[in-house]
Amino acid sequence: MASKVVFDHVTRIYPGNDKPSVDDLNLSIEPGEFLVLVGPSGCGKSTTLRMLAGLEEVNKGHIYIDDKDVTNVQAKDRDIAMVFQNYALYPHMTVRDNMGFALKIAGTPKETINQRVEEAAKILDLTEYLDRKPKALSGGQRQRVAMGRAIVRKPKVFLMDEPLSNLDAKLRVQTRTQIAALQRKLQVTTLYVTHDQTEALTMGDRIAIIKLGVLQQVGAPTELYDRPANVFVAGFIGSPSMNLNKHKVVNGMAMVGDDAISLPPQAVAQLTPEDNGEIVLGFRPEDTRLVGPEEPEAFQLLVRNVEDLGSDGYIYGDIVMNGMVSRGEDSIMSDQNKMTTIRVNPRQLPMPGDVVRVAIDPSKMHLFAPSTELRLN
Amino acid sequence: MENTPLDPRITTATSASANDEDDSTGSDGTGEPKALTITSASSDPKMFTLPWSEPLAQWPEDLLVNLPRGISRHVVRFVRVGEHIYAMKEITRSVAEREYETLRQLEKLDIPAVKPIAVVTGRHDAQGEELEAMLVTEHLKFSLPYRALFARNLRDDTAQRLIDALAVLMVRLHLIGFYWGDVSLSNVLFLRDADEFSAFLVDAETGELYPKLTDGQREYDIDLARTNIIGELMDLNSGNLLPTDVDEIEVGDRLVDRYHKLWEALTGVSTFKPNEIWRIENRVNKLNELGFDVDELEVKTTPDGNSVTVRPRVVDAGYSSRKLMRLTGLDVQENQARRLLNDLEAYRMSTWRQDEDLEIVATDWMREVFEPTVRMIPPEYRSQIEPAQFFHEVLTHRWYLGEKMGRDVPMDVATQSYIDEYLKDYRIDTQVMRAINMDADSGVIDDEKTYGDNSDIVGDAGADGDEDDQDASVWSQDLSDFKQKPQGDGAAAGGAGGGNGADNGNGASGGNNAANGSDGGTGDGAGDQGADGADGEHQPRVVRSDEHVPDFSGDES
Repeated sequence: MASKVVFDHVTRIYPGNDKPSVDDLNLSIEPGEFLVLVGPSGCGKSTTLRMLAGLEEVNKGHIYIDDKDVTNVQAKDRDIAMVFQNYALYPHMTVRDNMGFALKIAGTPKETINQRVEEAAKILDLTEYLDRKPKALSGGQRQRVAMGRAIVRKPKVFLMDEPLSNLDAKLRVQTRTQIAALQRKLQVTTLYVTHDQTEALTMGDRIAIIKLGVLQQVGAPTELYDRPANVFVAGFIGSPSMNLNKHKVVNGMAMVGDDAISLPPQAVAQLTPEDNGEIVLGFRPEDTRLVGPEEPEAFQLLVRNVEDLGSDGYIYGDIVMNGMVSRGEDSIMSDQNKMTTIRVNPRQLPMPGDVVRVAIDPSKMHLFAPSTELRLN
Repeated sequence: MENTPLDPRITTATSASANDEDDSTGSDGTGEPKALTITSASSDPKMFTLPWSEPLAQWPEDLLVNLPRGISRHVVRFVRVGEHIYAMKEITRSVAEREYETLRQLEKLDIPAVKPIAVVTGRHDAQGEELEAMLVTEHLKFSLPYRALFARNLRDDTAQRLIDALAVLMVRLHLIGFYWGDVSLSNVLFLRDADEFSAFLVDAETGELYPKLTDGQREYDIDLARTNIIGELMDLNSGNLLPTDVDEIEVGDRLVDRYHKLWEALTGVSTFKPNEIWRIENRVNKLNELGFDVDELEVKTTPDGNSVTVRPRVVDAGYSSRKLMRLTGLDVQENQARRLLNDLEAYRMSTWRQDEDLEIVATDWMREVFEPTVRMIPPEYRSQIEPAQFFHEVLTHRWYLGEKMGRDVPMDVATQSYIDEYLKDYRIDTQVMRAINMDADSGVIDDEKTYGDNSDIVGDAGADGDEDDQDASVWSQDLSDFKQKPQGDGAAAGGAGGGNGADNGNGASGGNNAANGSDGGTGDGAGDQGADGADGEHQPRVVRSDEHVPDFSGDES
């Protein structure tokens, strides 16, 4: 049966630091779930994984695996497997022995080893190669033998810390798919750590986003994509990333350059004096359309650059204000070279230098309070 | 809570960071620089003339140096660059940069590890396709991967001695706060060190420096090391390369035991009565014997005044080697240094110069004893054996000769006799080398050329039926057939005999039958083992019965 993992108010402060690397983390990983922990480097995600692995001390709080408090249990007694920690393949051993030798060391009976190895081989499509040696395998098959080594242990939890960072871009995409498919077959509770939001979105049942040691949001990929809880999550998830700008609010409307865009009153009502009469308006490049001059509720964009990807076209531009471009202000929070990104039909790409009018799908607007950076709508 | 910052040698040292020229890498960390970039501590213009636009696996033979390589998941080659031999490893940029930085930190902390030379990024092939980055390290002269050691004549306790060396390395790494994350014999290079070995870290991909390691981190490293070592020895056993009486699990357990003993000796607190202060000196002497210098001792009296606690706070490895360096300028391994210091002392006694300064005696010893001896190393062996190791071997040989003849043997006679009889053991047979390097390559997972899958986890299993024939021919070229061809190009190996099924059975269980003769095997027949690979087995291991023993304990036949 798959296991459940609970982080209960877990804090890790490194000796000599005054700020915690992981701060009061509350997170559960459901039985059989593939949870991806994602965040920029230094955010505490690897520390979190290592605390579960038993490699880092927990300064406050508790970690449970299946209701058993493992906070102070030694790493090797936790029944977890760190997958892909550079498993070597042994050239003189058959695939069978390569996969099963750790069980043999642990004194597992031979029949059990054989049975587990054969199960794993079946899942990994390695059955017909069981009696071969690594030399007679392709690189991909070798990689799977290494996975097999972890699988046969039947651990309660798989831990994967940036397992793909070792592979080049092409192999990474292939292996990504394989790991996700494999985990779904095995149904072993998995904590997967990455800095790559694409990996997170494509692999996880749920994603937990962490920044500076603080958990920002947990949810299914679409939840995080559609309803980011704060400005950080909004900017982190999605590629190309969400356009995020701070705008003056006048009469319940956001002033986007020279133009005014209506805002939902319930969102505006939540703004406080600390927000200085401003609001953060976010929209994804695909939640827009180009409109003619007659259409209300649109803003002007000076096209700087266009990209034709065949299936999609992208416009990168600057919002027009007082006939000038508004670039360079710190109000722009997205990271596409500080420009606004719009996805359009690649057959209707404007030219650089054109000024286009852009309407945002009102149901796909993301509104945040500048003071707290929390979601308003 | 104890405040233990990172070692100041790391934080205050200025370092050319591989990331310095980061050209707006995207948050996914995959952004490669557009043009070839070599980040290097020492700029050798010859580096730029290498064929960076070729995948490493396809670099021309004439650039490569044929040295034994360890098992790696990545493509690794030795390349001659001017006067140097560099180890090149093809890995992703982020990993290469990280490992480069880590190795530089270890270098600053005087940890025995390979020396980082450069990170090469922004590689593109002729079609403009991106190639993986390369980590360049200096080849550690005279060092060998463990598999090369097992492929030669060796003593039955080699496995144990390698483990002891690894335990010392692990303790040293853990003392400075380095969590390795991937301890194994494969990730270490060994240098002969008199009758022991010294271990050098070669793979720091997963390693990281912390102000202080938790017990969990140390225990994880130890546990992983044990598993990996046992696996590596089981593998040697499957290839008939392990002496039959070696118990893999026992050797793995030995690491755990040695590690803990050494750790305790170096960090443990001893408690004395106040009138037993002399025991502090005992403690220090014991650490010196283990090869460690004590830089700082913490001595405390318990509140009741009834006992004194002593704990070494800062220890430095290399007690004897530093002493020898001071006296002679020779930079050698710890046990070699101890041996040389002993000989120096013997020289001082035999020349009745006990009252003279050791520094002055050392100068004469160098000129009259050490240098004339090592000058006799034949040129073709100068890249195979370290002078200090040679000297040590000659001393041992001389002792044996003396015992046999019942009189002292002059140094030059002993040296010549050693050269004639035993020096050839330091050579690796080219066939053996080929087998070792084929083994090393058979673990590579990320070479695009060989990655191509026959099947797919998510796909249906039947789809790859067509490939079977080709695979069978690859398979039939078992590891033992190293004479065939180094790289297993399936199609090209057609001539290799042996049906699929038959070979299977053989390979799986062959571990035992070929081990015959490995036991009491005498004589020097070992050298030509590779010649008769006809029995389809890997070359049998042959143990030389009259092999030299370090400590004169005479436990040989």
